[in-house]
Amino acid sequence: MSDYIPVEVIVEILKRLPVKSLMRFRLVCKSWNTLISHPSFISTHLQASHSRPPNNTPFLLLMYDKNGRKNYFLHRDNDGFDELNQLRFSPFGYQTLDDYNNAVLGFDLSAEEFFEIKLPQSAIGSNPLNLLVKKYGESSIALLKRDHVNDLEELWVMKEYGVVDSWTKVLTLASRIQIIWWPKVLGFRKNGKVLLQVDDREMASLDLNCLQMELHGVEVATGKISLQGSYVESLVLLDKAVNVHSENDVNHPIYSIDSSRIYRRVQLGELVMWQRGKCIHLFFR
Amino acid sequence: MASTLKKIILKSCDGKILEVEEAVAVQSQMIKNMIEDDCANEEIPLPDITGEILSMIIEYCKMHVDGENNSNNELIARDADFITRVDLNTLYYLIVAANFLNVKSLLDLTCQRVADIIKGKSPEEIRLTFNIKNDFTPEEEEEIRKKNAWAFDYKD
Repeated sequence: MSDYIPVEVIVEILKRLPVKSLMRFRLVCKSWNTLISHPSFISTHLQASHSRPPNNTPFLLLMYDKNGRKNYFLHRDNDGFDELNQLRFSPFGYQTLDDYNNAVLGFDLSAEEFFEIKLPQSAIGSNPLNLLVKKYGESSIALLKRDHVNDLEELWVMKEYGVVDSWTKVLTLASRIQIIWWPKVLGFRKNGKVLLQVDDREMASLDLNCLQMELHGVEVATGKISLQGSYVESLVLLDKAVNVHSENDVNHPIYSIDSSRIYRRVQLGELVMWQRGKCIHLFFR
Repeated sequence: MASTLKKIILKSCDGKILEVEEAVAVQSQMIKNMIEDDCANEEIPLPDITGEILSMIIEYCKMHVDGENNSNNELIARDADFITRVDLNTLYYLIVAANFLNVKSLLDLTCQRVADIIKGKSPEEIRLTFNIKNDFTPEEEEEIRKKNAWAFDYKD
C-alpha cells in the first residue's frame, strides 16, 4: 500500500477489526498504539461492533452444567447456535431489576438512581417469587409470570420502555398432563425469538410470529440453564485495564476491576467485564 | 425519466473525462451535495483520483443503481464479486477515493475487505503492508508484547 494513508481511513479499517487483532496491532508503531488506546477510537469501535450485521456480532452468554461443571459458555446468536467457547472465569453478576410487588425496580446506571416501572394489570399483586424480569430487544424489558393455580405461564413484553400501556402479552404456556417438563423461558434472542429450555437438557428457539419451535441440540448435563446476557467485544477500559493482569498466568490474564469504578465509566445500561483482555458487556436498563 | 438522463461530467487527475448519469453520480454524497448546490453543471475535477480508479467507482455505483430492485443477497454477492477482483494496492486507492467522494457503501465494503485481509496478520506483516516504520525501542516492544501475550496466540 501507499506511503501515506489518512488517519480517518486507518480508523475506518481498524474499527472493523476484532479486539484480538487490535491488541496485537498496538505493536505496529507508536501512532497506531496511541490511536487504538484512545478513548474516541474505543468508543467508535464499540459503536461499530454494535451496528454490524447480525451474523457477525451477537453472542449469548449462557450458564449451564456441562461435563460435571457449571460454567459460562458463549454461543453465537445465529441459526446454528454454535458454541463459541467456554469462558475461564465467573463473571460478576449485577441484578438491576428486582421484583417489587406492583412494580419492577430499575437502576439507572448513569444517574445511579433507583426507579419503578408499573407491572401489567394482571400481574399486580402476584407473589414476587412467580415473577421474573428479562431483557427484551435492545433496551426494554419482559416479564415472565407463573400462575401455579391455573398452571399457566405468561410472557409479557414492554414494547416501549417505561410506557406502562405498552405491556403486551406475547405468549401463554399452558401445562398439560402429557408434558412432564414445562418449557422454561430463558430470554430473548437478537432476532426476537424466545430462547427456551424445553426439557432437562435441551434448548430451543421459539418464533413468536408463527409459533414454530426449533431445537438447538446443545447437550447440557442437566438442570438449570440461565441466559446471562448478550456479548460484544470491545476495547472499553483498555486505557485503564492493560496494567492489570494476574502474575502467575501471563498468557491468560484475568482482569479484575472493582465494580463501582466500572459502572461509572460505561454508558447507560451496560455492565463491563474483562476476560483475557476481552471486554464483556451485559446490557440492560 | 427525465432526471436520470442528465449527465454529470467528471475529470480524473490524469485528464480522463467520464460522463455519468446523474442517478449513478449521486451515489457519491459529495457530488449529490454539489448538484443540490447547483455546482455540477460544468465538469468536476477530481485531483487525487485516477481514471482507472474513477472507472471502477462508477462501475460500482452503476451496479448499485441497476441492482436497486434486486434482493439483498444478490447485491451482497455482487459486492463480494467486485471486491475480490481488487488487489490490496488498488484497494487502497479505492478507499481514499470512496472516502473523498463519500460513497458510504463502497467505503464500508473496501474497509471491511482490508480488515478481513489483515486481521490475522502479525505486527511485522502490517508494517510491510502499510509501509510503516517501527518506531518502538526493543524494550518498549517487549513491554507491550508481554502485557498482551494472549493476543499473540494465533490459534484462534
